[in-house]
Amino acid sequence: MTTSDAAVVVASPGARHRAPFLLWPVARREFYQAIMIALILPLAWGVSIFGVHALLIIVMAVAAAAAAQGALRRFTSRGKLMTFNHTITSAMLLSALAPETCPIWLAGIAGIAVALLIWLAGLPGRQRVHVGLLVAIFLSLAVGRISQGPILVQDALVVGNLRLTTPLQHYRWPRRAAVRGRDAVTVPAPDHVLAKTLRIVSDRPQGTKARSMLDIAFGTLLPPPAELFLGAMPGRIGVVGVLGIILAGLILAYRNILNPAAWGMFILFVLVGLIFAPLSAHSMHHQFWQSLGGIWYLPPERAIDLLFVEICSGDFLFASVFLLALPGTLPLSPRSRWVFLLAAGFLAALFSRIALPLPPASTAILMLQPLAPWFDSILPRRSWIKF
Amino acid sequence: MIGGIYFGPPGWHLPDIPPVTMDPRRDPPPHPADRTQLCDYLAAADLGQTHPQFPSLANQTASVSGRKIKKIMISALSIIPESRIGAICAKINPAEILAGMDLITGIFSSPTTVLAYERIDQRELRPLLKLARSRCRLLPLVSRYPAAHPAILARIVAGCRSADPLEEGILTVDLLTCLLLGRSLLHGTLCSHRPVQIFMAGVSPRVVWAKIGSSVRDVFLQAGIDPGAMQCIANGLLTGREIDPATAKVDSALETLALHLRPEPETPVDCIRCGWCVQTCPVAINPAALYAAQCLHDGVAQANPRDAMACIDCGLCTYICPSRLPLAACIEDMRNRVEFNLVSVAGDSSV
Repeated sequence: MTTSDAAVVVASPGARHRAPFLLWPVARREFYQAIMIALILPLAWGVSIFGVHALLIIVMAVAAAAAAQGALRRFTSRGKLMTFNHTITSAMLLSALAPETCPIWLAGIAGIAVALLIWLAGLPGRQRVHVGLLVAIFLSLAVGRISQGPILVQDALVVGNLRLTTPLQHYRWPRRAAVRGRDAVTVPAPDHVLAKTLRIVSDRPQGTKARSMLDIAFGTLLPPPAELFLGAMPGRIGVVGVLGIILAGLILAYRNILNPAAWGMFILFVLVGLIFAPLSAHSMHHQFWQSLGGIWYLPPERAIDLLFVEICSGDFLFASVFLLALPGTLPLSPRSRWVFLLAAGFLAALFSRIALPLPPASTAILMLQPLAPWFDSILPRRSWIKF
Repeated sequence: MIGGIYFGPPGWHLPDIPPVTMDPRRDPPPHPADRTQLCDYLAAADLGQTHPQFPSLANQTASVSGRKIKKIMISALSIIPESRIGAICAKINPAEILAGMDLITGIFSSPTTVLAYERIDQRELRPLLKLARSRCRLLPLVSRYPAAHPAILARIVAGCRSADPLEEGILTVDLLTCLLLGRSLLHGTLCSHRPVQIFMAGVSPRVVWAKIGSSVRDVFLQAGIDPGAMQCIANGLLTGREIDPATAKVDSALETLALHLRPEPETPVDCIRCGWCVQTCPVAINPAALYAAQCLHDGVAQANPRDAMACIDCGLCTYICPSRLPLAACIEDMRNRVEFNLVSVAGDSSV
């Protein structure tokens, strides 16, 4: 994280004594409050999927951040300038991107880290990256890859009892003592399965092995579309609930907080990752680069499935809704926004194929966010009025 | 709604407007037949600027001299979001408006005349539109603030991209100018009064004929409102200025008066780069970058000071800013500085 005072627009002293004499009744506080309210939906969805453990992670992260901010406000002069809504939104963002397998104590430490980093970096607007996102990435690295995460499914919840209803054979009883004997199953993480499959398939796309690999992946390893849509898969607490994210996105769009350009990232991700990437399939020799062209190795009937799995299993929807709604993520001028989103889409597709233990789209945005002012300076907004 | 734009057309009900007798002219000049005579006539009738942001007909006539006018744009829209000046003019007397319109179109002999009006005012404008249909092209708009600004309206109507539509041969006239000019022509009067709208929370809007040069306090009393210690804003809450009713005088450019409780001052905080100011700017400039460059002397912002020249002072950026930054004031300062530099450079080169 870098803080460059020169690059930050800070408030100048002096009260307003000129027009306008009317102000929009939404200050920074209400801005973050609206995002906070929207974040509750996917978090609640995640709790319904992952159970009490996920709830404890959220509560611990938010409580730790609130307590740390309280202490900082009490004992430091800089802490008095911190805003509660911003800290809580950051902590909620952190818990939304936290893996379900994250230990509760680690979530508490991460919550404290969020408040401390905000305190160090200054007020909202002075930090060049989202602190909550930064801590979530470190948390993901600390917890490691979610390749075989458990799903704790309660009998009475939305998805029902997977043990009784699913026709799939690949669900296994959890091995961890903590969840053994409960109403729980484990399943491979879809994005991990996808990355592995495409890497094998891209070696010899027309081969028999590739065909059988695809059949296995789509037939047994990947959850059926309905369960993907409902979020019955291993992943991050606030990311798995596609429906919750869509509803939150609608709320944010209705309140004009979610920029219409945010949908661009989603579209550009699909374009870059799934359509433009075939260039790499024909021009690159390395297997990894070839696998970027995933969709081009698949029979047409599988292409839609792949698209659906890509959308539901990664954090692309989450990033498109929440990270792009947060102020300070995107450059300000429309042209630079599109270039930024194009770059973010490409990076997200790349990270998705690498199958790092990181949320791909969020990591891409985190890497590009400090460059947002630079995007603005190379593609500035010019008025249509001519002189 | 948290963000977004809001100021659609005002929908308040127009009250009855009492008739007024304008001061008679002592030596009425003959009806103007050309542009020079029109300039003299407007001066003799005391017909000046009817809104601070709207170019006066006299100034435009003087500066256009013998150049050809491609289009006459008559605006029944209002630059002030809460105002309904077009509908008020139409309600006062459509025949007088038409007389003024006919004179202007006759003198400037433009191939096209467009009357732009707000759809929501259609009911009040109907008698005028019926008569004007044969004389000009009617352009109903669902405009949102600040679409009535001459630069923006010229872009909507004619695709003009200049800050001054007159440079591209577009003459801009508001309906009030047509009304006052027509009244002067028909009755041989001076423009001694003008309609002023009065707004106050909890009280339905009032319209009065205010005598130019009288005290603003008298105008309030005429409307049956005591301004008391309330904050008084002339010409709209977004672009207007605070005045003291006891000392301020009515001038020809006073369109609205608003009374409201003085708000609690809010301290500006750091910009959070939400981008709302950029989204709402009607002339597509980057107010946050200009603010950083002007008020914080921030070279990293890479703002071009000339962009400030495009600002039309609509005040939307400051209005919407959740960080409460005085963006419009800073841009105005920057524009003044750029204009000063341009004048200095021009002065040096002429020497």
